[in-house]
Amino acid sequence: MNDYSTYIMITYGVSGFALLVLGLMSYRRMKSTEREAKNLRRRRKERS
Amino acid sequence: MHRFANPAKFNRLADKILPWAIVCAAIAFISGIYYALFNSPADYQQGESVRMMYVHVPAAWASMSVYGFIAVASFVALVWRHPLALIAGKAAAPIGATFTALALITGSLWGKPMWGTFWEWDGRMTSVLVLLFLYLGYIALWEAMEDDEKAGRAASILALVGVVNLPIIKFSVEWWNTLHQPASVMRAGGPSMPAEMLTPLLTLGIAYQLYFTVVVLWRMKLEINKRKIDVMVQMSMQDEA
Repeated sequence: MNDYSTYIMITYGVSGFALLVLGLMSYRRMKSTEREAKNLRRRRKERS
Repeated sequence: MHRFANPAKFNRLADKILPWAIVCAAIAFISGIYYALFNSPADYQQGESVRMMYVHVPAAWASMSVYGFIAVASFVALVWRHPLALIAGKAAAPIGATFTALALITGSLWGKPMWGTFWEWDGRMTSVLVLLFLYLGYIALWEAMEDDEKAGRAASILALVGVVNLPIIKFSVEWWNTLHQPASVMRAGGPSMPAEMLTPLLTLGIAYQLYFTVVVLWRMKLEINKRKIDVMVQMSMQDEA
């Protein structure tokens, strides 16, 4: 591409990777706690 | 504002906003990156390396705006004790820290071919590094205390004290001699760059803000779920006792 292509690729790669990982981790943790909260509520209802 | 203190109402509102925010963020990222890499001109001085600006500057803007968001949330939490304000601040901090780290890393990568060095202890770079430490301190305070209320209050006070760093970052390039270029978008007299460069820059600036909206809502829902789980576990233990 040009003399700066390595720097440009690393810059876009690092930014994309960091944002993707943070987004995925946040979404997965949100979903897993949502499931856990639902399960606990269901178990409480079943017990009562 | 207090009617959204109800987690169920907040979750309903968040679920309505999220799909639109995700679609808008995706469109803004795709079009912004396309413009930045393939449809914007090289700079007459910096050549092709100017393309690093399109991810560096939006990250830097977002690092400061997210800190402003945390400061406002902290103020609301301390003064009005709005229950969602503490959660909003806690949820936003890792996102702000990521934006700040990205601004520093991408700035270093842009600096090496332009200035011949990855790092220089000048006003702009040092004050942004201080911002990263403020974020890390805020996160550490939340993690250091068992009691969420106490941790939240201590972290909120730190966030409010740290607000003094925002004008230092903004005006550092005017107050001190620095390698960093002066403001070229948010300045008196309007932007100094052509529309072909401003368009991808502003598009990616919007994309980063939309990304923040999506992830902060996910993280706020996550924090609310964690609190629900804690309450239900405690109630189960009381039932068994």
